Amino acid sequence: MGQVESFLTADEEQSIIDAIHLAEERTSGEIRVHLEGHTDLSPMERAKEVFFNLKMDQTALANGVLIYVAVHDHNFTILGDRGINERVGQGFWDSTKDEIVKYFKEGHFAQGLIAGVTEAGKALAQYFPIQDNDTNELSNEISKGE
Amino acid sequence: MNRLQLIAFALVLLFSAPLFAQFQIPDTPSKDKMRTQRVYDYADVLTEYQENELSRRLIGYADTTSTQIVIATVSSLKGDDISLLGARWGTAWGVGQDREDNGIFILLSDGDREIDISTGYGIEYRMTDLETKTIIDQVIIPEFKKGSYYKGLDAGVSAIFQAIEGEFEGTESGKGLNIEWAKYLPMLLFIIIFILLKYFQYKNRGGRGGSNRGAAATSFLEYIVLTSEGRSSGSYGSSGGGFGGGTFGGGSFGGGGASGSW
Repeated sequence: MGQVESFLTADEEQSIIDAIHLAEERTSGEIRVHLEGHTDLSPMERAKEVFFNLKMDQTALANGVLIYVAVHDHNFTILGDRGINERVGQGFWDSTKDEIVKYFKEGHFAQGLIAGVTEAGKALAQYFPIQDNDTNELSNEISKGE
Repeated sequence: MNRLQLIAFALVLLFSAPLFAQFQIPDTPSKDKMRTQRVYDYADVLTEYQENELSRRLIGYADTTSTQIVIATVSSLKGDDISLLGARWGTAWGVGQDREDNGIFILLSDGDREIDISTGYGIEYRMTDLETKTIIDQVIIPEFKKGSYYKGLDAGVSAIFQAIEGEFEGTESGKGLNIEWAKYLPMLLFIIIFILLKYFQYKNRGGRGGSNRGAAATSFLEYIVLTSEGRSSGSYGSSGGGFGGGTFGGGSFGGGGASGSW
């Protein structure tokens, strides 16, 4: 439990939720962050599993983006659904990943996550601008595993 | 076709066949043609009347819902995988991709006796891969087996309309329930095995101490109480992340991403 809980302070957590909220004001896409301790799977495989478990595969335009972090393992994955992936391509994920790594290596976990959320938000806003009848399809809360 | 053309054609076939042993998707029909024709019966398994009937239904549906459905039949897949070919074909022809990518492409191969329904990304949230599979297995295939491609396709089209409206239910009502259950099965098995193991541990220990059956049962109960208490105190921070190891109906993930470590 400990490491996942202490990964972010309550304030930091709130600032990430705010960043998600801000990003989603400009796009119909959905962004989520999931933290957990350890996974036996590869971070990519596990991230896909979490993606489905959080029902992120069910957005109307297939434009959900998940940042998955395995805290103990020092691993993370940023994952985007088909709709967004088709438009941004692999280069976007790689550059956003590098951006996050930069912060994480210095122990600035909140900043790293906010940077990731912001980057994803920008891309989503470009390709999936907000619509008048947009609904927040998924919670903005950070979800946590054990 | 004169002789020269014939020879050229034969040569092209000769050289391309071993290199690209895959199905050549026919040229995209013109927009006007697509507007009036939704059934492309290359295998010639439908009568003209049947083609027109299906086309008429599909066009009518597209007019009211903007969901574009196209049916193609071929006599052979030339060794291609039907799902891959279906997806490729639907994309190549731009079925339903004008606005929301909500097209559906149905491909039937007479020679391979296979059918595939491939859905655009914009429609997948309305019609899951599981639903398309159910439609194929429970609605279309039974009619095909009775010997009518037309009836199978016609019934399949009706089921697809229902699925998009969220009204499709498999013919066996038990099916949905089974799937719900299947999700929890690994977890359930795990719990049962875990409890049984612990139970026997207790029982063995009790047995060595010479206690009777009753005592073992008590400790078993105690054990459950203890574990459930232990769980509730230690489990805040857990999310609704499901039971893990879930199966996603074999649906493939079409997205992308990148992993990093620090």
